Amino acid sequence: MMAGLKTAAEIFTIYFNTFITVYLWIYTLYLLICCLGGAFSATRKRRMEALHNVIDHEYYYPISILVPAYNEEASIVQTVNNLLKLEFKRFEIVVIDDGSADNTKQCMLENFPMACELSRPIRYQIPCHPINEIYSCRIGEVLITLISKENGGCKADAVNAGINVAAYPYIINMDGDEILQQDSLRLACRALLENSNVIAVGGNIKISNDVRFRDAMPVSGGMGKNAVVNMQILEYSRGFLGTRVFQDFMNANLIISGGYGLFKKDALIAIGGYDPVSKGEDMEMTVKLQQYYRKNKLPFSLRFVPESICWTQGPASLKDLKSQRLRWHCGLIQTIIKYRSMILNPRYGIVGMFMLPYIIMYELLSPIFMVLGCISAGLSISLGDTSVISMVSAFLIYVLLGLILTAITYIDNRYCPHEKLTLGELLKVLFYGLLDAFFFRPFIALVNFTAFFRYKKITTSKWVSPVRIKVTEET
Amino acid sequence: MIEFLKTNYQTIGICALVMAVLIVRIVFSVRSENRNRAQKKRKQAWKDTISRCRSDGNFTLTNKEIARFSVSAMLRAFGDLNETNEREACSAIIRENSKKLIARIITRADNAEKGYFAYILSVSDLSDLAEEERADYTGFVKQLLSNNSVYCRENALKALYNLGDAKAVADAVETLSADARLHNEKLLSDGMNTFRGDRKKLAEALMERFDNYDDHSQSAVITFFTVAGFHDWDEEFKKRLERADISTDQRCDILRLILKVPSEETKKILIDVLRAKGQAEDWQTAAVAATGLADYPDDAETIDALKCGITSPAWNVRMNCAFSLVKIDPPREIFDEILCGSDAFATDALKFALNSKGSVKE
Repeated sequence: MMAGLKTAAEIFTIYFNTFITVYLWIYTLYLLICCLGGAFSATRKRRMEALHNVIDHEYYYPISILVPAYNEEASIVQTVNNLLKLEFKRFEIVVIDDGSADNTKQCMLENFPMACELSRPIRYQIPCHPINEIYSCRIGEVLITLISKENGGCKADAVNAGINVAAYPYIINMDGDEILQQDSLRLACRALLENSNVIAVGGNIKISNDVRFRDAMPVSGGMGKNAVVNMQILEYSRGFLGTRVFQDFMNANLIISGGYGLFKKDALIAIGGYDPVSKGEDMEMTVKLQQYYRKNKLPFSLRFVPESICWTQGPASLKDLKSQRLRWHCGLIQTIIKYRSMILNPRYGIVGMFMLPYIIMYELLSPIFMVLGCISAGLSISLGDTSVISMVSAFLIYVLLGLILTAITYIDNRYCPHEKLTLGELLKVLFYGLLDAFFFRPFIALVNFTAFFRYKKITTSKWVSPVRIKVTEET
Repeated sequence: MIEFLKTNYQTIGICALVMAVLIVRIVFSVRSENRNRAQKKRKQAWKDTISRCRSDGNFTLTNKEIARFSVSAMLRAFGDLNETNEREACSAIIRENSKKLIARIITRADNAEKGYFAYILSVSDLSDLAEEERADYTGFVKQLLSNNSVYCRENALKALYNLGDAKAVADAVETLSADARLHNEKLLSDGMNTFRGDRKKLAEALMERFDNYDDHSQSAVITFFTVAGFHDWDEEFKKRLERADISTDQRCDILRLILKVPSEETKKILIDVLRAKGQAEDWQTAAVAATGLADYPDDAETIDALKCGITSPAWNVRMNCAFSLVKIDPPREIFDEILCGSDAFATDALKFALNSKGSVKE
């Protein structure tokens, strides 16, 4: 019996170790290509900008900014006030109160001179829960609309309601706690002026928890005292500046963040709006756009513009972070299941043949491989196939690699480029980079692993808003 | 450890490669922090050149100085200086050295540098440029219109607007059409509005070539006429509306142009369009016509057309008709007729327009 088990363990470790070696090799090569591509693209962009090879124009596309809000009484007024500081010619703000249990609606009505528009007809172009009331007011040139609707149980339903009410041909989807940087719309619109086939533009998302703002621009800050937040700062830097720049180059973007995305309204309506069942509505929407445009052989481009920045509050506690990541991973599982027909289907080009398989192997299943890897490593050592030193050395190389990558993306993506990079800041990055490798990433992997077992419960739950704090503003 | 190195040399090799790339990246990032200091030195070099030229009373550059124009950083320093109080001197350099500069840029500069030189031309004071130099620069800039870079093309167009040669701009639009390069329509029409020469002459030159342009460029020209207020060719455009081979977008642009000058003939066109297209799938022209009819108050024919349009299945036509009716402010019975009618959508649209009285939406 024992001999049989030992043989089974040996066969498992041999095959799994071979698999994981190939797996990590592909990952390393992909990372290398992304890093090189990202670095090349960033350097080229800086040079082009310095040589005035940019399209800056006084005319901008009119944009409706949709702010879905569920229990956002702590931050909604500040969010709208910050949006009013945007440096953009023509936009409207549409706040969608999704049947909040708190005073979100009252806060809006008390802070802005809103009047109820009893007779406003609504053009329901995509399904959403009924809209009860619409209020509006004009602050300067900007029209602010407040939609009060029945709770749809998810952000997607609130955004769909916003699309139905939006007056302009382009919409921005953001969260109720975010700050769009003053120049963000102007920079995102460059992509539209450069190419008329652009149907969506994703921006760069940064963590705002320890940043001080003046007129919707960061004036100081970066890493603070909260380790959970600091590690998310590093994670966002890596994610946005590494792979997304590469995906942009290939027109293979599979996620335009729900935190900040600019879309052509007609494109969203053509595909039926956001899926209210999905827990990862942003990825679902992006994959749906890829599917629709590729299937119908329509010209399209999904762009990522890293210079266009939106500031968001990262979860400040492990509990909030855990629930956010569980939701994200379940959303990923849902999307992959829903669009499984695209996988390895040449009709969908690089998205079907490469990006989706990559996401399945390196995002969806990676927590499972991590758990199996730990088991395999333990078995290999106990069976004497490999030494502890070899195992530790390999792990340290991996950590070092991650640390350098983290440091570079952080430097490239610094919050306040006008501030000098100090040695203290660099040491802090390296410290949190280490903490990230030894604690944060295994923690996230474990959380994602549990998502497979809690999938049903999470996908049937309603949306919750994490605890919000007020962003520090300088006058 | 040695055993590990022996067995995993491939993995270690690739990791080392990745690390090398990343370290180079860090060096680049840190190096960029010192760029400002170097840029100051380059600007100083140009200032020294300008001082020398001033003392010589001649702005002709030496070959060595001309060579600086094909070095990105030096070109940028010149461009920066061109936007300070040294603009006059920089313009003199551009004026006096046209042939040498063009030869250098064409042969040695890459697309981004060519685009930047075009940008410098677009912000320089070229008002007293001699005909020969103007022709040199115009010829050079026109070459850039076939460039693959959208930025280079846009800067080239800006330079042409600044050079003020109407015929060259008309040629440029033709080149873009011929190459099927879709340059943003709004960039084109707004750019034409910044033309430094005689805009009337530009309009004439554009109309001469109008039929050679693609649909997209034609729309840009019409939009330019609308914004600039050129209505000399309205009759031609009205006839154009009768053609079946023009796009809906261009039809809308033509309607926006002609509705700026109210007349009986225009009113008739708007009413015909609203009646013909109000119930159709391509309703866009009807929506524009509905907005335009707001300028014809107290007219039974207009009110009838709007009353018909407000029952359109197209949301925008309905809303625009409602807002136009409210702006016209006909006798109360007209409103009552719609408000008490059987079309609930028309009633909703009119109620909303009445409540937001004063603003007409398109």
